[in-house]
Amino acid sequence: MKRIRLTFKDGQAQIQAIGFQGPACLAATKGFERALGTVTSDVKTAEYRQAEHAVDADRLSER
Amino acid sequence: MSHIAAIDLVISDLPLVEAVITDLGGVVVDQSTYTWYGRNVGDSRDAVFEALEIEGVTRGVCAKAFRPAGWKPGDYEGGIVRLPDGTYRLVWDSWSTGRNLDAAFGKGGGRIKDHMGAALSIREAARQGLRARKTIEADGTVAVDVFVEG
Repeated sequence: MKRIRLTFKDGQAQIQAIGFQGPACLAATKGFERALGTVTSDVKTAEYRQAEHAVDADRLSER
Repeated sequence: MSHIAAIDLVISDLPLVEAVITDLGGVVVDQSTYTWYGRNVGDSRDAVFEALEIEGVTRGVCAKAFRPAGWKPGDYEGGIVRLPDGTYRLVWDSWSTGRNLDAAFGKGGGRIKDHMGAALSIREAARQGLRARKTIEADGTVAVDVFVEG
């Protein structure tokens, strides 16, 4: 199951999107980011990039 | 995991902050001042107060004040200060009896913000029709897991 994990420590918040494929994770966390405050950094992980490459490869194979 | 975002928590819901302070054992009081030593006391200096040119015990600035459990008259209090943009900031003097505020609410109100953030996350999950679970880890980290179907 996909999961959004929000952690709070010493007044600092972090959001992790787990199990999402590519840009879908950005959409999934947007509402939470808006509810909490201001995003100060946003790091895409290897999982995000792998999914993005897979989408690109699919598009190329369709041509 | 596919991405990680860091967020500066913004305090914009006064009733929610009041509820969190109460849950943490504090008492919220209706007063526009809060007790502290003075303007230039050690680590309590705050750019907001510098900018607003607040002197001594502040007046007419706080939306509310709050006290930790065990507070006695004369002990320092915390202030929930309304900023010009409509958001709020938690402030207190961390010296002397202000250490009681640090102990109860975390340095800079960290524990208040942590639980406020969790409450906002659970509220947002409910708005989206998602199931959420709050846990507190051994190191004090407050975590909310939101489960997304599909």
